Amino acid sequence: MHHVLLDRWSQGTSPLHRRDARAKILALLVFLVVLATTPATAVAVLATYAALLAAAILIARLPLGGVVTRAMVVLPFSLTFALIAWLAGEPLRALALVEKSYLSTVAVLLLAGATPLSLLLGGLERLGSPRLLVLVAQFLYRYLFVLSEQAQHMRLAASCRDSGAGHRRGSRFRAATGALAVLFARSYERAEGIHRAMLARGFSGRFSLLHAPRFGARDGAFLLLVSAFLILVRLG
Amino acid sequence: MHIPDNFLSPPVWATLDVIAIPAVGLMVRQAGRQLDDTRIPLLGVMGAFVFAAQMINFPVGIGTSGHLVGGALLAYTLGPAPAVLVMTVIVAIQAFVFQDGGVLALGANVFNMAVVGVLAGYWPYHVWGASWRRSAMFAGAFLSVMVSGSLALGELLMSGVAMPRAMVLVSLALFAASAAIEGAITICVIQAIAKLDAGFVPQPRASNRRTLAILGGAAIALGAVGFLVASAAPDGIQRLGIQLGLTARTVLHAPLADYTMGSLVESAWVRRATAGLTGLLLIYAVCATTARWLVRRRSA
Amino acid sequence: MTPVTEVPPPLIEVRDLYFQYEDGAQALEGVNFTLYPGETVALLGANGSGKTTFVLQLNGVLRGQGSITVCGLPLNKETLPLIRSKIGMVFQDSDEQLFMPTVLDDVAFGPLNQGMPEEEAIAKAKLALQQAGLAEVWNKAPYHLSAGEKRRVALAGVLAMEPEILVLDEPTTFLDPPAERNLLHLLADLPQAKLIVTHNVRLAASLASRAVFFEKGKLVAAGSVDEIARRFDWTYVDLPPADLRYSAHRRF
Repeated sequence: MHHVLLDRWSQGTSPLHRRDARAKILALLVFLVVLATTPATAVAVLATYAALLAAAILIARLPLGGVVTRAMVVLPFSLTFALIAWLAGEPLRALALVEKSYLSTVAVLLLAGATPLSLLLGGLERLGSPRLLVLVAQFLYRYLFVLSEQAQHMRLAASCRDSGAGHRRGSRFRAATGALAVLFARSYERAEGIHRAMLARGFSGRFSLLHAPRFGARDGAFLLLVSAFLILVRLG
Repeated sequence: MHIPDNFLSPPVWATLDVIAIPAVGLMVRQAGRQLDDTRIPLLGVMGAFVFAAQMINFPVGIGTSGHLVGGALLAYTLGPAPAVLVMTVIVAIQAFVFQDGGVLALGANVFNMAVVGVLAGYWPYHVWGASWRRSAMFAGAFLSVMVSGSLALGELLMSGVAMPRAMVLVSLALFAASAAIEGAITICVIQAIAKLDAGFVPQPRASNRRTLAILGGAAIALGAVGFLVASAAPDGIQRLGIQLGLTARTVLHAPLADYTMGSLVESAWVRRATAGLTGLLLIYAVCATTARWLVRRRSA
Repeated sequence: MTPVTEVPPPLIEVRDLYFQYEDGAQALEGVNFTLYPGETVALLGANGSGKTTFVLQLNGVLRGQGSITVCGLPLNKETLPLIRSKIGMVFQDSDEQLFMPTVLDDVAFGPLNQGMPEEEAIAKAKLALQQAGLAEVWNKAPYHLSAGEKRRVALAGVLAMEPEILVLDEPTTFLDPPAERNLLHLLADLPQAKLIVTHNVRLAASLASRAVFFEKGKLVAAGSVDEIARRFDWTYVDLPPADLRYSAHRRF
């Protein structure tokens, strides 16, 4: 499953992994905004950005082929619209759609692959995201693996029992409904169990998060250099 | 529908990013007023449930199967404000972890699916769910998918993405089909859940406030405007987009180009963009007011 | 003349505990129980007999009727935070207990709730992880741990609060033999008084000085683990070893 692989990638210790999450998020935003305002005709600029991304992937010690392939998830969408734009007599726009949406996907994948999500969420909170959203996201991610595994087991068990032939469509629909209802109830029970465990360890109504590492000189330098490079290439 | 980056024009995605912030902020504050940190694990686990639920296939035809999107279901089981919160988190995680939907386009996707989608989904349940639960839930689930899809389509058209009329109609038909599937799955699953424990699906409080019904209806109508208008004149929307300056055929990089030509403030782009902004702000205002009404009634 | 031995004051004293579920089912009926310092007591009984419900009463997660005194403190709203520091509970489902993003976050959760400043909480957490033999996993997400490691991290999370009493609900579920052995040794070395809910009679016999037996919400017997096991036929399979059976069949 995608999130399992990404989680493994994010556990690395490369120089990029070690940068503060805030610096990486802001660098991503600069990249995305600059890319969004780049015309498709600026081939050299786009090529430079692609090269920058490739370099970053290598620095982060992530598998280049893996990242390139996973980013292709956006292609069905962009190729469809690109085809239509091309047929409508806008080949430039078509090209822009494909290239730029692909590069932005690689950039986001790079961020997610070089930053453990809990640190990413911490960075977002420090950049101003509401605390409640960040905490819910934290819990969602924590139990995403557990619950998606449960759902996979249910799917497997159901397919084992599925003879395939002579099946009334309604019964499979009903089986899926039942599976979802059970998953729901178990999730609720799980939340109840978590609540008890929280109470047992003295939870008094408010989570206190541990403070993340400080934003250091290296992180500032990283952000400044990347932003400057991106903007200069764009303007130059 | 999750819109990737570089599909929407800068004025459109920027506006929606700006709109989404107070919209979500309002819901977060409302949800936070109702519950202290104690309910956070439940919301998180329910969010994970929605992800996991999307892995389970519901066969609906020859070789086709659908899956639950979940906005309406969350609203019926958790309440509208918490549901908006959870859906926002879900859309954000889909963008960052699964690269499903862009990061600059996050405002648009959150607005479409987590804010308007969820609230539109809850509205029928709030208005007539106490008496005719099944139809209210079907309508709500249908609306949540239809409205978010139509909004996305409208935003794409406004950004100048080329879409021949036939394609728009086919997309809308596909949205309607998914919406119907969502409706069917939602009522079946809610029924099964309620059988396990009736407490899982709290009753809506009966509404006899005419104003609320009108406001809610207006929100739905606005969301559905994309459906009607787009189906009638996709080219028209594109032309409108160009006139409003939200679309740039050749000047895709409008902001920076203007900067190199002169002062940013005096550029034509800024003047024209405000016109488009007003339209979207109107939609936002209605939704926000509806949201405030809904949530205040719930916490009363 | 025999000297009168001084009985130390009990750590836990439960008198006349009654508890009903929301649907009216009687979960606990007139339970009386005492735990003395340094003891390890095994709670045995069928599934659904009330063992888990009982232990959840001790730290106020569930509230019934009757009197519960922990370390001399009567259980009520004011004393709850203090009592929850004195009783450390390891739940049956480690995934529900380790709810924070990383191991360190989770083990520091308890000390932070006790009002400790961040540095002290982290120090206590690292010490507790060391005690549990898992100092090196402090930065891992719980998802990446094995069942045995999760169980020990949960225990560390509890030890970091420096409790006087440990309560463990089915601690050996899902553990393979090496993990079970590991946990047993760890528990045997801990000085706290322990209450262990378990089906594992082997575990009970090796750790517990006495046992109590629950039946349908009532505490019906107390004694040594062996006595209880014999009296209630609380043993596992009594089939002969597989080889014998196979060779018996082969004759025909």
